[in-house]
Amino acid sequence: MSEIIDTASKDIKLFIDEPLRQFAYQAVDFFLKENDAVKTNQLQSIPGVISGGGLAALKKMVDSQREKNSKAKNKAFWNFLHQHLFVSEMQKDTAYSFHHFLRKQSFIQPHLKYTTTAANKKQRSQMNKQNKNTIDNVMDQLLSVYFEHFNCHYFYQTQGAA
Amino acid sequence: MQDNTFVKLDDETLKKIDVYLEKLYEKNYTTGKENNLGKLMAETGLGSSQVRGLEQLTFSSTRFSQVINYIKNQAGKEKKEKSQWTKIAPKLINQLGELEQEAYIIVNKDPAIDLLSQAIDHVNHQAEADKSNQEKWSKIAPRLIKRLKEAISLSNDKESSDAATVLEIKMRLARGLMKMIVANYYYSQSQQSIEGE
Repeated sequence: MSEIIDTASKDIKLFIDEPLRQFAYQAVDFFLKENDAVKTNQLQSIPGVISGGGLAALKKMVDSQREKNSKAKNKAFWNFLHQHLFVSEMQKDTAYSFHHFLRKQSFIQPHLKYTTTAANKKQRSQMNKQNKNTIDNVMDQLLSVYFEHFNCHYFYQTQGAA
Repeated sequence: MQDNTFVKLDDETLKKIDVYLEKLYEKNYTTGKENNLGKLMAETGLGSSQVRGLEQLTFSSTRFSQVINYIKNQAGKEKKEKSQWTKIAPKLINQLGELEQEAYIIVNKDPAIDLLSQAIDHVNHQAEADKSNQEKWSKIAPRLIKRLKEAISLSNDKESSDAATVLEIKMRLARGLMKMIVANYYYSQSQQSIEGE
């Protein structure tokens, strides 16, 4: 997968440092407000999986946990991550969709195709697909640092829940 | 070794940083202040290696958020009965948050680029949602989006230099704060040992 954004550029570094961090914190707070906290060991394997295989490997793990995890509250956590990371912005509630969040960022705008310019339905569908691939690509680049923010805030908010 | 300098700051900005740190010292770090985190670290019995570890991380970090995440991680993994980082973390995160806001005040960053970006998203959304006026939108939206993209592109150069400045100011402020904390930590420790004799 070719890289779309330059993560070493200053504006992306600032984006990683602030909006991405705030979004990760909000996602954790949202999960904890709506669900029981899971033990921190559920989250500890995430960074390793991302560094080993990126977005594809994380998706595989999330799907596997959703299917096989026997505890209801763990299942709820993995279902949340699935919704948060892998369900595109077409769903009704976009507030905690990572896709939707990335799509709004100024550094992504030049790489997106605007469907209003499509000549027909087929072209619009192709554009949507290309946009999804673009955002997946950017997400893959940012995933590791995103989960640094996500996990540290989760550990902080659930102190002593190890 | 990673380069943790983002941009060379001008003399005026460096002066603003120093003035702010001086004010912060007077506010929180003169004798007896309750927000003196060095003193609090000494009182909770936080080990010297922990304090030095935090200092070292702050000086070598390439991101401000690495410092905040480190503190959250330390507090998060601490056992309940120990309660050192748990007491320190909220105040420290709060003080770091103040530094982050100050960085924007010092640089006076222009928020226009984010607004332009939101405008593109909004136009695209409206154009898709307003089914009864598809023909009108198909004429207006592409032109409007093109103009907004041009405006973003014009702002991008300024944004990059602002971003680099904000990052550098934040890191300098954090390093300044950490120097105060470490000095006060060792001073409080020495006071404790004198009182204990």
